[in-house]
Amino acid sequence: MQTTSFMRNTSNLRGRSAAFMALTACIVSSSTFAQEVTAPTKDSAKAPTQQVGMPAMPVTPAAAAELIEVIPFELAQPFTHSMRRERPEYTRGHVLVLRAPEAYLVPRQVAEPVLLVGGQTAERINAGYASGFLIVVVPEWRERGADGVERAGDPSTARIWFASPELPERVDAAWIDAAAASASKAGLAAAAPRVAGFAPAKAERFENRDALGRFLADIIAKRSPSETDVIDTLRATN
Amino acid sequence: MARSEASQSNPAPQWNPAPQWNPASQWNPAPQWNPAPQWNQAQRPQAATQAATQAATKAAMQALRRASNGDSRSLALHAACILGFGAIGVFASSAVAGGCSGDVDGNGEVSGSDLAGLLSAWGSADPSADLDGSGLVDAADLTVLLGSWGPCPPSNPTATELASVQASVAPYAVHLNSFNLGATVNFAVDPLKFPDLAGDTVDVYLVANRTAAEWAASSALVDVRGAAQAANLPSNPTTPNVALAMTGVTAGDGLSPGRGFDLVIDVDRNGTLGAGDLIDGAGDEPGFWYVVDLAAAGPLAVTQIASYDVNDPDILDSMELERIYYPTTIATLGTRPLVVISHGNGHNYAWYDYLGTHLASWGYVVMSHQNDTVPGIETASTTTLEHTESFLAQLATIGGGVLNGRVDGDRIVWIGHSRGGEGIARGYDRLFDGTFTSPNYQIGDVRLLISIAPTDFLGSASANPHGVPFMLMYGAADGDVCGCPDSDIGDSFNVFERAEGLRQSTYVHGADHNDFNCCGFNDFTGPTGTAIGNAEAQDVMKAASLAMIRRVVENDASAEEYLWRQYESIRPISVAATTTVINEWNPAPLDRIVLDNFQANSATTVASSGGAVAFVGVANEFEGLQNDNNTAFTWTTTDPMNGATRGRTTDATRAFVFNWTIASSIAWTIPADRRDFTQGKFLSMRAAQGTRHPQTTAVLGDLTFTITLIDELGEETSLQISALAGGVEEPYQRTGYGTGAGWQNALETIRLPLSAFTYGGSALDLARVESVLIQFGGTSGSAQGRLVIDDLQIETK
Repeated sequence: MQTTSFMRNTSNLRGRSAAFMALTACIVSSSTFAQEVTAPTKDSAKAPTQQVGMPAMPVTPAAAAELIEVIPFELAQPFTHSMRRERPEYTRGHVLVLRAPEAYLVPRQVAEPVLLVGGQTAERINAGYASGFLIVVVPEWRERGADGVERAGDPSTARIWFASPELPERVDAAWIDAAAASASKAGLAAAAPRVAGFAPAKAERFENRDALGRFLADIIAKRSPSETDVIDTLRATN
Repeated sequence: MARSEASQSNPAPQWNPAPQWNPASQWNPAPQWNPAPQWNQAQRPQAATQAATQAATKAAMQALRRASNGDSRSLALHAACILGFGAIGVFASSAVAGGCSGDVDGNGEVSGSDLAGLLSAWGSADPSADLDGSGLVDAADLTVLLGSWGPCPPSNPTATELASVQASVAPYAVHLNSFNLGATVNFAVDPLKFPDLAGDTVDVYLVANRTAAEWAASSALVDVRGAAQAANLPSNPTTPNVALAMTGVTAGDGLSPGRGFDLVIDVDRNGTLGAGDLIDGAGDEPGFWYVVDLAAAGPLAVTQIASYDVNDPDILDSMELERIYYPTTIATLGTRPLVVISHGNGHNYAWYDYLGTHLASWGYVVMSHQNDTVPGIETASTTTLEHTESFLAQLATIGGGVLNGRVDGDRIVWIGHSRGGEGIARGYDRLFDGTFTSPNYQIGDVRLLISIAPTDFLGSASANPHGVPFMLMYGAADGDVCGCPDSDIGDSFNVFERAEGLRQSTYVHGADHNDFNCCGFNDFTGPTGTAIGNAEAQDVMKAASLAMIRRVVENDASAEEYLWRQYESIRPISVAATTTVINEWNPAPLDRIVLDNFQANSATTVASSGGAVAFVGVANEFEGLQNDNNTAFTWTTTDPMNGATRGRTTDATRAFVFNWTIASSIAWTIPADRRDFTQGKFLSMRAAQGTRHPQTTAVLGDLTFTITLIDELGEETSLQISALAGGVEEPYQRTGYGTGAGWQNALETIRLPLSAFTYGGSALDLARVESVLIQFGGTSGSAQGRLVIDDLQIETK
């Protein structure tokens, strides 16, 4: 077989279930996250509650564990944010590096907890369950401050949390508002906990989303290097 | 049709070799022979000729009665009686008269009806009865007629099924068409269908498949092995199989995994296909296929383009990459179908090398693309639709144009995994609805969908394959799209049940969700020791997808049987005998005649086709939607469809469920307009054991039962489903969602060749089947069980 492969190593992530299950058991038993109980009745819109071979579906809402980096960026060419029903285009936003419990990061075919940053859905760029580091893109959103003035949201000070499982393409502003109310009712902090020494980075500028992707690849290579498929894919764009 | 308990407890039609082996004891008081259409008229079973003899006796006796009443032809009739009984005496010794000049009615045999016709013309100049041409119908004509008594000698070869597999129960030989390379290939000539051949020494020719036209052009027999195989045809109907000598015979034929052969029994051993010989494969299709390992690489080297960026403005920049696999020698192959692979959530387009390489080695152009699954199913479907369009648009540039003019855009297969599996169904639905159109392909170009463990977010209206052929690949140990009772999202069978065209499911015990890619999370959820691992699961996937694509896209049926036969009967060579796979197959609507699919006439006593349904001994019968009505798999009487994860409340798929602990039966009376089973090739149904029901857990093994066809004259033939090996598999013993063990109901197809119901010289008239009787318990099969059944039907292809 002839190949012109750029692929060097395929990250085989099988065989880690035991560790995840053990960690998950810690997570789901933690009162920090045990704030929502799935209803026992059948619901066509809900994901299954019991997945023995995978980390159990974690409770939501739950805060992301830690905010590591916030990197503002600008795109010369607008890009569509497909992680919400409105599918807004954006040219500004932030790259965030978060640390989160693995149970929230394992890719699921059934609905996953929706990651919200302030009033915006986050686009997950990597899986992160192996490393614990999740790199996301958060398009700029507008919010009205306590002073009544509308301004761009700031991830550095915003609440960052996992809302209930749903397909992001079905999430809209009303859904986010309801999720925020649920988070407040659950007592989630209004801002994400920051890593020690946290400081916002300087803004980065990119020609387009592909260029941003290559930037993201570098971050993933640093934070979650085993995800070679994701890294290679981001770097393969032109 | 209701039957008495007495008759229920005695499945009389089961073969009893001792008294029936001797053709002379085959007396059948019912004279209503109806020849199976595939038989040469000249070749009648002994039972039939005995029936004809009986008719002759009756005719002679009637003539005698008329003579005693003063009929003027008394002398002639007296002679007829003497000569007639003399002929019967000859016939009882199995002698076949030569010539056929006495066949007054032209039905292929000289029998009582011919005698009656001659006697009616007695003394006249009726040319049809004036057998000696003397101008008078008289004793000389009678002598001619009686001298040719019996079946007319064949004037042509007889087309019949010969290739067979051994069955441990009646009919002992089941005629099937696919055989693994290296496996025993039998042929069988039923000694009661062909009594004149029983015990004969014949030459058996294995001939490279010829079309009907090719046979017409040349009847010379050329054995691919270099010489014919001499064989003695068994006389014992319980051991009819003879092994073909297959040493050195190769399998596969170019891009087809099956090599087709016609099988000829050269009775007169003259090296020519002629009168009296038997042939399996007289038409265009071969008599059987000899099949290579479907999971092994095909004959072609493969080239891979590891990453190609389509740069399509209609696709998100972050979703534009494709990995492409194609035969290295594609320039020599003409145009080849396109297979598109759409991965699942958190998966990667580079995770399907095993499948892309496999299919490309069998001659397909395969493109696996980045799939926008994180937002959801709409975005995933858009990615599939757009990538298909872009790929076809950019053939001139991909790989430097190596594929330009080589891809058949009229033959497209979509394969999707999990969210991608639902995405392709939604994509097809958008083509169906007209909400997506492409300048490069139309809905009719998408020939087949293969969904691996698809989700069902969108539900009945949108996650819908409509009438396109559809295949489901699903692991019973899937920890993600789990088939759990508390959510519809994870119920892959929902999508399968919505498919209205040809559909097939391959349900694999011990396979998990990510066994079908290289690198996903280990989500295995099942009993310890039952995991089969991704290499094995991928072998199943490679084999099944190849078989289905060949069948649907290339009209190559060489591996079709791998998609519906019991895995105990045939499995891809690479797949271990310990791996449990459950096949379900349902042909397109035009290829089936439904007897009862439970979709209409909701009363349990009325079939969907309108006929009556009668029960004896079964308990807790229930007909309804295949949707477990609570959130657990624990058995409870308030949830008769426990374990059914095949439909939402908005879906329509219905079935019938019941259990038994004593000899029991269900009988369907067939409406008059559906009684001609000669239109069909198979009687089929699908069945599953009821999850965690006490009668299921008590057995914990394959369930078997007996199916009987009864014609309008009461003739009947019974077959136990184990004749085709296996039975209805017990549920995968996965726990969770309540107490007990056993996962979702896994329906599997039971497909019996109708030809099997005519084994052993059965007098069953397939043209007038009045009822289908299924018997459970007693001597009919498993002593107890809980069974879901559906789609009782005749299949015509």
